Amino acid sequence: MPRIAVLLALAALVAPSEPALAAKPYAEQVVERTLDNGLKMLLLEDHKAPVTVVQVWYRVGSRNETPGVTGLSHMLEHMMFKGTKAHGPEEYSKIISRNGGNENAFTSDDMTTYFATLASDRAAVEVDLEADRMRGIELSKDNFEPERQVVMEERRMRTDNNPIAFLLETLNAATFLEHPYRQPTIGWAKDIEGWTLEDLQHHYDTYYQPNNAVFVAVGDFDAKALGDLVAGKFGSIPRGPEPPKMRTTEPPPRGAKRITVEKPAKLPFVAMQYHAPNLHHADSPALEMLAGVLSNGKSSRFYRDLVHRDRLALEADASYDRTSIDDKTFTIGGQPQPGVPIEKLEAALIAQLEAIRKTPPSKEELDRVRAQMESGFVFAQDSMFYRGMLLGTYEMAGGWRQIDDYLPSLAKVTPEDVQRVAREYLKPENRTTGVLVPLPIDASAPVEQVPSGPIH
Amino acid sequence: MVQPMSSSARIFRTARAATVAVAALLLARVVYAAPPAVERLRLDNGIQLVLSTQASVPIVAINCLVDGGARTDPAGKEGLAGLTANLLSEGTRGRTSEEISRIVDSLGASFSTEASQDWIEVGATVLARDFETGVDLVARSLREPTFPPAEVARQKAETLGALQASEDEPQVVAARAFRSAVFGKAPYGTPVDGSLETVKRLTREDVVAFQASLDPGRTLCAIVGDVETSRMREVAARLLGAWRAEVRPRPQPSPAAAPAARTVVVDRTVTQASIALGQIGVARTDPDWFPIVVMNHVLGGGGFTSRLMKRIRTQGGLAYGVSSGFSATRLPGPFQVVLQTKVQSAAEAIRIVREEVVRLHDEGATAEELEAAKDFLTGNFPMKLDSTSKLAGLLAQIQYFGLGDDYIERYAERVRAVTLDDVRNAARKHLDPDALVEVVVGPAAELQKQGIGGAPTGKPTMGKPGGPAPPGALPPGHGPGA
Repeated sequence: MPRIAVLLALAALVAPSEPALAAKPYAEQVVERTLDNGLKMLLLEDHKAPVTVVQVWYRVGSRNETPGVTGLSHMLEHMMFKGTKAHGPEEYSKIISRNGGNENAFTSDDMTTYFATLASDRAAVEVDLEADRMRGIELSKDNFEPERQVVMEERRMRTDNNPIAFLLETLNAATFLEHPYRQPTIGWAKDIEGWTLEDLQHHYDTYYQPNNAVFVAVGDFDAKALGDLVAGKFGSIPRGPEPPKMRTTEPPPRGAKRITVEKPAKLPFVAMQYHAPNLHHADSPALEMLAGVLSNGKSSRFYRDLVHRDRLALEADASYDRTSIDDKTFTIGGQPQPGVPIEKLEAALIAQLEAIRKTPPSKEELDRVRAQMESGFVFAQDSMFYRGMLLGTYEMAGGWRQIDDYLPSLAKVTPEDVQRVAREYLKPENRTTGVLVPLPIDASAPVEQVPSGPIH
Repeated sequence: MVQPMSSSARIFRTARAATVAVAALLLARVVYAAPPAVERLRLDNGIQLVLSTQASVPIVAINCLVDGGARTDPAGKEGLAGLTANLLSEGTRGRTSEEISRIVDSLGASFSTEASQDWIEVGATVLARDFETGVDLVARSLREPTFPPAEVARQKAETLGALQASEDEPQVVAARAFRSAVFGKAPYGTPVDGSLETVKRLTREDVVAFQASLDPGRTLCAIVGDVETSRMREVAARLLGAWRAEVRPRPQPSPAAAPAARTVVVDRTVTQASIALGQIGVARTDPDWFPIVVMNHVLGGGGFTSRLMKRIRTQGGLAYGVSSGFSATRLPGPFQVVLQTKVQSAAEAIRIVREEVVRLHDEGATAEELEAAKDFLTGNFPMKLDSTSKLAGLLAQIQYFGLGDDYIERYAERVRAVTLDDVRNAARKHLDPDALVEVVVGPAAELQKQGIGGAPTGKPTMGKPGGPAPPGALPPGHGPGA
């Protein structure tokens, strides 16, 4: 096929067509209810399958921790499965499993979330168990010590024996001077050794209260009936004292910072973090589009230039922390092709940022990124679990209704907006750089050299 | 939304096991949705179509599987299926790699071409309004890939780089060494990406020859989503039906013979040992599949309630996660137990795994374990088809393995039919505690003090890149699958 015809075909595909979806806004689908004790419910009916996802979100994570006892929120998450006055250790998981459900939990900087997916006629089982463990867990030494070892194994697996994760942990601690976002969610290794049962009990009593939690459900249920059930099960829990506010504000950065991590590794890695505002700031949509222009898909600048054309990188990514409770970061990272010096990839990444600071992206690039964001949003609605994650994440960050602002806010971003936020935030004095410097992984495994360089 | 980069480092999941009896009153009757309406037909060129309209979200998933993945790589050319598959989207007649990427990204579509051990998968997920363009992308990759020499060179370099990067993931290193120790040079013995030695040798001619062996007559396409099946039929017949191939079959390697028990140590300076124990399991079509799934649930497939999780995690505090699984494969594939534990407790963890394999082999499961496994498997089935993408994947697997048009309808009945004797017989027949292959990635000298391994092998093995496995999960492609 002649090239001109291809371009015309491409132009037809790129031309704006009718809106992707006439989906109803979340505001018209979600039922919000708040009990007298402060527990908020967000209930979203989705009848595509006879399944219900339940998620209970607590507003506590490593953001609420202090030096010396980091990781408490995550440890408490583990201990939430170790029994209550009504149910013995591990009984929670056994009951959910007997009912065909999948259950788990996760902890992050900002929140701790418990979830189960069940056939809809079993959802009441999960409601019952979550109400029970909101105030009912029994912490014991017998369960605490083995679980502390489990968390140490988790830390070894995720961080200590994963050179890139270890680099990012160290980088984070350098990026933030004071804000607790500098702390790893799993906790520093020495802190894990030092936790006491009293630390955990205090953390539980402070943060596990109905007025510090949000109950989210998505699935095949009647919102009125489920809401009444939740009110019945949780309503008798008294409102707790208001948890203390996290009072730290990160001071403004005063110049570029740099760290290195030396660890056994096959390949180096470089990451750069820039302080950036979250979704409450007017620049947030442009930062989201900037991340998309840089690294969303194989036609993005990083993939097209650094991975595909110049073969400098095995991978290169830009990611923007939009939905954090406090302002966080815009992060650039990449791993070089074997044989490419890390300095060369670092310089190439910086050159990419300088290019966009100098010249706005094209309208075609922004249209492509918007199409990706729009389709991605629609694809994600295929998963009931993800819809629950969306509700909970936004609610933690400031309000679930902002979900509906997401795509419209991207539609307004201009090429000049993207250039402006790149200038404003991706500047050297706002940057902390981290480099992984590989040490031998064993005596007999030298790093392979593979030919690289431009192929055109 | 959780950002991909920080999530891997900062989002933590947990896993646990269970000890206490369940209150029977909490068990209600499972109500199933009506099975999805599915249409099956064969195009003139032999492609099997599996079509289902699902209007819940305005998207369509197109999922084509071509039999003949890495399992069929010629000896010495391991990685060929993987390289060929990756290149199917890097140039088709009249379109460069960059043009394809621009089309995909301009639709906001997801489009991928990749090999697994058994098949090459060409798949796209698009908005329903872009349905025809999605099928067209898939069809062009199957019909008329061009394999530009520059793309072949680039893709080779990328694979070689990824193989080296994966050296920093101990679990991937262990998985690779395990495959090699169990299957050797036979099918399933090498990861899809091949190895540094074999990928370096691959040429464009190899790729062209491999592609010429892809057969529409051994291809199926599952199409699921918000489009009428009449339109699916028409578009698929026009675009996929135009794939006319003069197929040049290649010799199929023969299956592996069962290896003897052995231990392989991969020497690494890490503080946590990555362990894989197992042997050759069964094919997905084995008549014992359902008893095996129940048996494996009891051993280490049941997440937080399994015997292995209870002893190794809950009681011992020895690992964050431990799991066992039989792969769903065309030929007998791997059975393996995987875990990570601090180097000092490697021998203890291995001892417990072996004890539990022996106990299951000798004694089978208890009546209560059997009922708990059946309750979970039947109750959990609705979650395997609760989205467009999951349904497309499941329908494709059912068709690929020939599990029957009534598979979804009869799933619960088949699970319910499994007896204690079935589980005991399956354990005796399919677990061989005396022939377990053991792979440990960790500091050889330390491990040797615990009696693990003889002299260090010194030779590192390479693996396919991938994120850390979630707790209780096996590497991709493992587990009971369909």
